[in-house]
Amino acid sequence: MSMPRSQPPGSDPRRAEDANPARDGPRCLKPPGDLVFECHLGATPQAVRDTLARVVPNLTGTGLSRCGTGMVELVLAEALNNIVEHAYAGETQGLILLRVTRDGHWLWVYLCDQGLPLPGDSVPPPRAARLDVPRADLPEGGFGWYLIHRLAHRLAHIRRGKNNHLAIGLDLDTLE
Amino acid sequence: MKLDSRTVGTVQVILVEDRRIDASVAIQFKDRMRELTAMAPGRVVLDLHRVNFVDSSGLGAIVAAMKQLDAGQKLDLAGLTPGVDKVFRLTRMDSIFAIHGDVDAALSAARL
Repeated sequence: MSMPRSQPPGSDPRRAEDANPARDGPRCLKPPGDLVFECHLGATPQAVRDTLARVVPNLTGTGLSRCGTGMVELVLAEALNNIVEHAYAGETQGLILLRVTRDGHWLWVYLCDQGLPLPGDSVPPPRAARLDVPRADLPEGGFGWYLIHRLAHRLAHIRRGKNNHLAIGLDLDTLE
Repeated sequence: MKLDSRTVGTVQVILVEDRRIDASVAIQFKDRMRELTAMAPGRVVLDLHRVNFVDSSGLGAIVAAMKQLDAGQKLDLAGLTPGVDKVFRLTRMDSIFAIHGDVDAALSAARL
């Protein structure tokens, strides 16, 4: 299938062939498998919510259970909200490319944005929040990347030029 | 963000009527909870049985709703759907809240 080649972000057609996110990380711009969903969305929480509502019906056709679908939706929500809140940081004109493909028991989520780089240009490590603290000190955030790490089996990020590329591989056999 | 509050004996029960507590409504949820629980008698039960999706922002808002209670007040959860329950378990937040199968179970626990 052909991919859009003129729309930013994520439109760089280089390496569009012979893709394998597990091997290449998000440098491959065309994740393997069949396209499940693709869109550009704006960098707002409402756009994320609207997009998730459009993705979920496409996931049920992949044979996922309801719980598995919920976990995919959660990973998508966390990854997209991170981009809205931190990469674009309130710059609502920002655009995000979301592409979801299915390759056997792998579901690949590919995201591209042109916002700020991740701190240190890398995915934050999985860090569980400290809960053995007084009520007033309990964390109200910082769960997002932790949830992605817990649910994803492959995770790769690269900054190239002004683009952030993120690829997330979910093993549908063990996602329940 | 639609929340319905009622008092059963000495317990305030707040039903979340929305299907989602996510990043787009997290602040609204926290503010509404602050208004509703300002005069809470002591124990508040948040009925989540209609909610089928909570993301990390929604989870943070539920924690915030608990933290903004007075020292003598307590927030319990009831009726977690499977996906929501999983978010609490993955983040270990299930260890912070008393979680009941449904509101009836939460109210029975109150009488013990």
